[in-house]
Amino acid sequence: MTITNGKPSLIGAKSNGLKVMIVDDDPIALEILANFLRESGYTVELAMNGKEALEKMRHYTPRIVISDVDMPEMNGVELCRAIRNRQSIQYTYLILLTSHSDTNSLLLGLNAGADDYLSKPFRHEELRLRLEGGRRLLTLEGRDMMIFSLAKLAESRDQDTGTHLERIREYSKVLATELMSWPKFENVVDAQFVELIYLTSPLHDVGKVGIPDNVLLKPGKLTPEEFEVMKRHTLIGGETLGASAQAHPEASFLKMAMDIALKHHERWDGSGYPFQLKGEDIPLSARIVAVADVYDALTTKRVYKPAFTHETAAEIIYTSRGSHFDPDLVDAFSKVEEQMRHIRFKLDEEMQTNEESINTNILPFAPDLGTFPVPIPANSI
Amino acid sequence: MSITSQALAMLPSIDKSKLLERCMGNCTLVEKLRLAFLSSLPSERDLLQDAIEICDLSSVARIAHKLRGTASNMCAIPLSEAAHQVEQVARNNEIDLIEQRWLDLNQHIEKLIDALSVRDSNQL
Repeated sequence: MTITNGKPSLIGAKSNGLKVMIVDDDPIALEILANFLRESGYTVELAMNGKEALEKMRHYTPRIVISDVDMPEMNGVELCRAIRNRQSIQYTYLILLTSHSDTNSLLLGLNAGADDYLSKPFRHEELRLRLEGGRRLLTLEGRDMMIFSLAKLAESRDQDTGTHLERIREYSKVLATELMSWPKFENVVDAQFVELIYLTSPLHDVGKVGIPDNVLLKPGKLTPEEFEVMKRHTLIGGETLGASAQAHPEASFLKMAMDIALKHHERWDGSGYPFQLKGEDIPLSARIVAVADVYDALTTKRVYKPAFTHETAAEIIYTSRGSHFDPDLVDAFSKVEEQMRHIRFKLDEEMQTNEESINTNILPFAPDLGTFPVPIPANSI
Repeated sequence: MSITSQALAMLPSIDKSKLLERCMGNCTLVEKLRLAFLSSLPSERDLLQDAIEICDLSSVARIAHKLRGTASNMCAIPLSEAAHQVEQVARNNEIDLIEQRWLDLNQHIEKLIDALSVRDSNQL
């Protein structure tokens, strides 16, 4: 059950956009706490024990979890430990609900990764203050915005990209979300993976910052030598993000960002670059972004080609199943085609609103289009 | 500090104004909670009684602890305190005290069931 804010009766309960999960085996405690949080503008999800909470967290990613300690199936301490053991992109702020006499459990909980605790029955003002503490900590995580800004900065040297980054992350998210329901990817793709790829896919071409203007901004055909220079953007991006990942091994998003930047031009059959990796040696995140990037390139107008229709682009992707693209990804694409088309249409519309002020004549470099059965300049691979 | 049985008996079974405050003035929620608590109390009592009859003190402590928490959330302070006392004697293995504490608690449960069995929460 999800209780969202903004009900007509809740005048003054302005949404603060923060998702909270409450875990308690006492339905009365759940109701009272949920009511308070809803009135305070939070979006609330409920679970009756730790096991149910973890299951729901596969699809719902709360920023704050408030959990009772003593519960059947999986108690609050075990839940804290399980949440901390997840490969999570976002920090989850954990608050334990304890009784005054339960200091032993409290110590175990804090040791298992809880950030704070609250005595039962909770007092409104105390909970409000504790939540504010959590919010302050989470705000420090302003990473998402920073990452996208960095990607935008790198992209700003290209002059015809429009909402390319926005589309790439939406396409990647849609494809990853589709895989989430496939048994084959059950233990690989979860809600965290989807959020992570949404966050990091815009960095796929960040290495272009290291490509000289005479190549990056060349309006015409690239020579083979120039194309070799252009291909280096994968290595530049990969190395830069790899160095950061090494310095901050706890930041799993840097590892995925590196994989994507370095390997999104690899091809399933080993004919890509920079390493000619094959099949599942190419990280899943990079295989997903490869499809998203090519679909976007095909459906976008470039100096050397018109924008293809969705149908033409889809046909080209189907033709490349097992050669350029992971067959599973092409199958996933076939399931979410309509969503991809919708994203393109929606973001195109938004871009057109601002297009008059943007020079759209030049985009010299496109993703791997060279071997597609369409008249595309060979040096734009 | 525990409250004496005599003092407990003086308190109302449920502090409605406090409950309404905990529910942020939401009368519909108060009514929903009244019905939920009313329907869960008899089964909680039966579970506790069964555990006491077979001297399963760990279950007694666990059930009493849960009852204490729920009663506390419902601002039913006498019941919460009586459940706390049962929980404590169970945790301390004070078998000779269990019987009396249980009788006290059961009286508070009965009293609370009576208090909750009104037409609606306005009559609490």
